[in-house]
Amino acid sequence: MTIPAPILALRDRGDDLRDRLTSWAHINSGSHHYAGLERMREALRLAFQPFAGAQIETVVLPGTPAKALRVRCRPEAPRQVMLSGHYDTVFGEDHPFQRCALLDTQTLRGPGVADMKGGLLTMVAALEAFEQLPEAVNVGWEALLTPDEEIGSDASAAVIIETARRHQLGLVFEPARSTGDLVQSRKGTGNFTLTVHGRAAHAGHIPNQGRNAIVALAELLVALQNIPAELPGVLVNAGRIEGGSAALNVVPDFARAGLNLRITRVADEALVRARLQTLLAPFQAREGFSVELTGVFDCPPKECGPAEEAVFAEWQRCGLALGVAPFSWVHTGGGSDGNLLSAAGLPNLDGVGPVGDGMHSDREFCRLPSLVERAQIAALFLSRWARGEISPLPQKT
Amino acid sequence: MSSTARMLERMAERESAWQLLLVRWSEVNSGSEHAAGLARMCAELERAFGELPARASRLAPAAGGRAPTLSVRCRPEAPFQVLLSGHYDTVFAAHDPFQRCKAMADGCVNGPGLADMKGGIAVMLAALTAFETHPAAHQIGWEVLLNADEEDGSHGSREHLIAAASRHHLGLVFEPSPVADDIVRSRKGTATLLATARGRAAHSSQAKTEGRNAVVALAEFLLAAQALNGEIDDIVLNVANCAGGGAVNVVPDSARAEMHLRSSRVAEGERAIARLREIAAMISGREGFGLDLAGGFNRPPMEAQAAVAPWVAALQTCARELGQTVVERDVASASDANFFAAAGLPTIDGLGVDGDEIHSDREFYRPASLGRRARLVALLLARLADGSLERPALRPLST
Repeated sequence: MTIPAPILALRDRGDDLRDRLTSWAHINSGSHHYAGLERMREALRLAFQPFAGAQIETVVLPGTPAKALRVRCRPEAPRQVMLSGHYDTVFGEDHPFQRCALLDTQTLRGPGVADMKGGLLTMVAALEAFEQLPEAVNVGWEALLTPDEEIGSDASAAVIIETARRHQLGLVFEPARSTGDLVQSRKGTGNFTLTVHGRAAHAGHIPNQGRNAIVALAELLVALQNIPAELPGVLVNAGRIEGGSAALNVVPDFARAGLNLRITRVADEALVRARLQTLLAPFQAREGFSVELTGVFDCPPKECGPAEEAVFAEWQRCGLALGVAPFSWVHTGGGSDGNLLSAAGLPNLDGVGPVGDGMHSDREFCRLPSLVERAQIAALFLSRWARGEISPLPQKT
Repeated sequence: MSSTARMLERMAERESAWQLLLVRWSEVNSGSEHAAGLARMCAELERAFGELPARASRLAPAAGGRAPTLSVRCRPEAPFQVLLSGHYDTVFAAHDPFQRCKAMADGCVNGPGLADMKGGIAVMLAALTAFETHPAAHQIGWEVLLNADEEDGSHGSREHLIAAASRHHLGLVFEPSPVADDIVRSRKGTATLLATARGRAAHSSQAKTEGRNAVVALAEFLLAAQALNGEIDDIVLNVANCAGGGAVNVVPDSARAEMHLRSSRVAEGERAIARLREIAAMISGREGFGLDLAGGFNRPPMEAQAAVAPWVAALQTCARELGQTVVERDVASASDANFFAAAGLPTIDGLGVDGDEIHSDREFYRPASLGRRARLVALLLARLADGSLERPALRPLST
């Protein structure tokens, strides 16, 4: 496999990428910090400005002042790829973790350096090499960079799905695992509210007229813990609980829990729902109680199909040709916008960003050499796809 | 016609006025945590009791208290001193939907605090207003003591209650009657307990591996705690509230719940707390988890007092005269009578109105009971004042 010179030349860009990543990480872009998101979007606009023929557009999103950035190049080309990323981070404006530090010459610690400003930079660097290649005319690309992935992509989900539908392939620049592995599949997730109404009464006597909603909810929460053992691949998290009042001698008539459920396969959803109904039924039948579960699996699982298998095999081949240490791909419990791409029917490879770890904590770091390596792989893949060296991707029906 | 008979006759004329005043009080929200509402209620009471020939003073709450205890004192130099006690807070918060009174089909009235215990305060006011017209009234000194945090444990007022107990010979507490015309002989003690579960936070995708869910640990603790109700006779444990966690995609590392425990005997109460500590230790023994239990008994049990018997006999004599039957009852809920009894004051509790379903939006009282109770108390005071009923021996006061 011959490596085009501009892709080889990325090897000399290490210091430049490190400095750009540091400056991006120093712009706080917590999901709720709208002024910071705007500054980060402007930095991204400047990074995409040099691409001749690319149309840069700010996309207004419903229900939030935060906006997405869309960069589209050659929409008329025969092959179309969607490059997906988010520029928000989990670190709010007042979070203590705001600055980068070099842990060693190859490791940069900082907010968002892996998740996923490092991924955005990998995307930009890959395009900078790819756009120098004559075969680039055969591939049109559309980068959609969103401001709310860390808070569930509620505002940008519709535009992500709409964008996904006009492409043949998606590349999601979430970080690779610390082992270098990509993401083969992701769990789907749904947030639910479990509400119990009982009956208030003065708690002076046993028995009394009261029906304790907190105790009933506690029973339900303990029972829910059995679901992961019964349904492998399903996770249950009781993330929040509240109920009762400060009047300690009153039997509480209300309690509520917030649940986060995760499923591995699309088919798990029906199984989980059936299991939940079975669990809730005896509680709903209890005299004096009413039990309600609301919520939806709004983020379906990202399952791996033949198209993903084919793209990943090519990705590995490109890595091998570039001398990148071998990597595999793994299942992960966390969701990403890759789930939405899959839900829209777009085959996509996820975790194509740099290698890192410690995400969502002040231990987050990025392996600097992987910025170059992963950008080279992405550029080489696009080059080979543009030259017709990759067989047509299996299409979802 | 005797002075006493005239007093009772005049009381009948004012009965509906007291009932109207009670409705007005009920609709002034005075939830234990609603400082502005408590201030309004305190002002209402000051104005109402200000009609009596007595001196009102506001006793400042201890640190953390939201409103004063109102003391209305008359003839502190008289040889026989009676304490009449109640609370003007309710369990209904400012934002609770239950704020208004309404007449029920059976003649009862539904409303917040009507029975527990603004009705009892109305009984006191009606009884004392009548008694002060009696020519023998000068024989008795009395003090009305109304606190603002009984439903919250009386933490800000208990020092005032205990101090007041020592300056009286007899305590009358106007919590609602246990049933019909009955009164309260004993009450359970109450403990407030706070359970705090600790776990380890992680992203919810790592719920099975990294995470240690504090909400679930708390739920297990609460189920075991609730089961003590069947395990230990004579206790009542109520899981009253809980809070914990935050974003649902994070395994929560902290959760807490408050519990209320009642026991009529100290030994049983201590056994329950020891069992709770065992359960907490069992959960704390799990890797990555902790469960702390804080708190203890707040009001001591009120056991039946030998010294109160002659006073109850006198009350029953008056009741018979009025065609009422007063029976002593043992009840589960604690009141400030627990403090008075523990301080050695012979105390009769449950002298307030007849009602039920307290602490819920079904709370109601029987309007006729306001007048019945007021006549009973006014008659007891009149008979003890004019000597037409033999007065039980007075306990010596420390000061």
